[in-house]
Amino acid sequence: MSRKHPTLIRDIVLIIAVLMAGVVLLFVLRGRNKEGSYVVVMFQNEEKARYSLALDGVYDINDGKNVIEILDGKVRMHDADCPDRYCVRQGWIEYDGQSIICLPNMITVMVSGGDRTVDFVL
Amino acid sequence: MHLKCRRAVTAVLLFLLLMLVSCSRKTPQAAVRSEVFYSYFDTVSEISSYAGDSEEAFRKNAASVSALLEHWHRMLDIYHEYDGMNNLCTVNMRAGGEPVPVDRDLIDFVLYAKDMCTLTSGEMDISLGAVLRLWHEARNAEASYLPSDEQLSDAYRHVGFDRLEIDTQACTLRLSDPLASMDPGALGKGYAAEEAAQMLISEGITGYVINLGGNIRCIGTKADGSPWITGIRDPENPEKLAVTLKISDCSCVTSGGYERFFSVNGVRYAHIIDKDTLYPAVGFSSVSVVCKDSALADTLSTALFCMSYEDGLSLVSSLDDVQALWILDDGSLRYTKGFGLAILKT
Repeated sequence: MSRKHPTLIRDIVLIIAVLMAGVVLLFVLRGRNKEGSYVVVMFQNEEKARYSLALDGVYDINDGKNVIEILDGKVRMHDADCPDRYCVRQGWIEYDGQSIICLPNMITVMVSGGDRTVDFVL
Repeated sequence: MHLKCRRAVTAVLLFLLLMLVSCSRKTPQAAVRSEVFYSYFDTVSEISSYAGDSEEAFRKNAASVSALLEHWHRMLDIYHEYDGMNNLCTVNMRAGGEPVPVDRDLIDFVLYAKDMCTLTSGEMDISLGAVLRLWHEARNAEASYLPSDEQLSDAYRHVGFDRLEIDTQACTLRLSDPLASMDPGALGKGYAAEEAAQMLISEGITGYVINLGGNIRCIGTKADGSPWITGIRDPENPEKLAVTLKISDCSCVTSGGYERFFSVNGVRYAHIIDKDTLYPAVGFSSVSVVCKDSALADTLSTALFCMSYEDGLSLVSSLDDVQALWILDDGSLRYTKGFGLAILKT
């Protein structure tokens, strides 16, 4: 080590270690977004049930009249007894704030709790 | 390194690390309050407040919006009549008969619709009812079918605002042609949303959003001054977003064939009928319009969906403060300059 910078190597190692820790933390925290998310089922304006988006499965949310499926962090209306089945045709949703509506049965299935990216989806 | 210097560098680095960790992508602030309605305009509607107002104030505003939406839902309903009022269903049913006395605001609606028909050269036309009825029946039959060309051209002979007698003095409406009918579907939601917004604005309310079946009308900005972030679906992959954009104090409406459609022999048909072909419109996957007035946005998104890109762009350019996005069938995007400025991500 030089006389002017007695701890040069140690300083460089410290700087690199701090920067690397920052990068690692950034990636870890980014991954946290989806894990916090869940699916909220509402009947009219009341919350009926809540499911974690992390737990894959097929769930009856309305006495057999509406069934949702959660897979890979997304949810869709798997089946419904309504006449037009628009809710089923809407397919998968995954973004915080997105929702699927079964109008005749007055059921709303909404993604919530995660890192919201949009207020509305058209 | 000098000890003080090293400490300073460490402090700065740790500070930067902290910033890196806490400064994630700016996340939209969730609505403080919201209420959903299922009974209006055959779709789901939602009123939300980002104004930070009290529960009591919000519920009162939500109740007035609900009452107003119910009023317009009934006025513009062409499938049911309601006690104590003459609505569009009444006017349609008495076509060829006596003039029907109606409320002043229905007269205003029809006059506005007539202006919009002229503005869009007939691409948004509430007098298209006779043709739209054929498609409504075809779509909703046990097994969907396509109306015949003969049926469609016959029906088209009973279209046109010249058949609608609007008496602004006596406050009556009369269809002179017994086979003509009105269908306000292309304009109703936007018009009602704007009426609701104007009511809130006249009471000094800001920071609210009315979402009438995907017809967004936001008032002002959120309480912290930030805009709302809207995502427009990629029609080919509806679970993905084609575009996200910032909006404030304006309306955003999208017309597309990817939500309400029907199929015949494996071919998908949109629900928007093009008056030039009398068939469901083709050419775009979706069209989105951003402008202040919701009724205008609804009108234009329907019209643009049925027009060529060049004609649509020409129309939009001729109007003040109207922005639009076209998503073509091949997935490519075209948008006006102002729309581009509002885009966050494509």
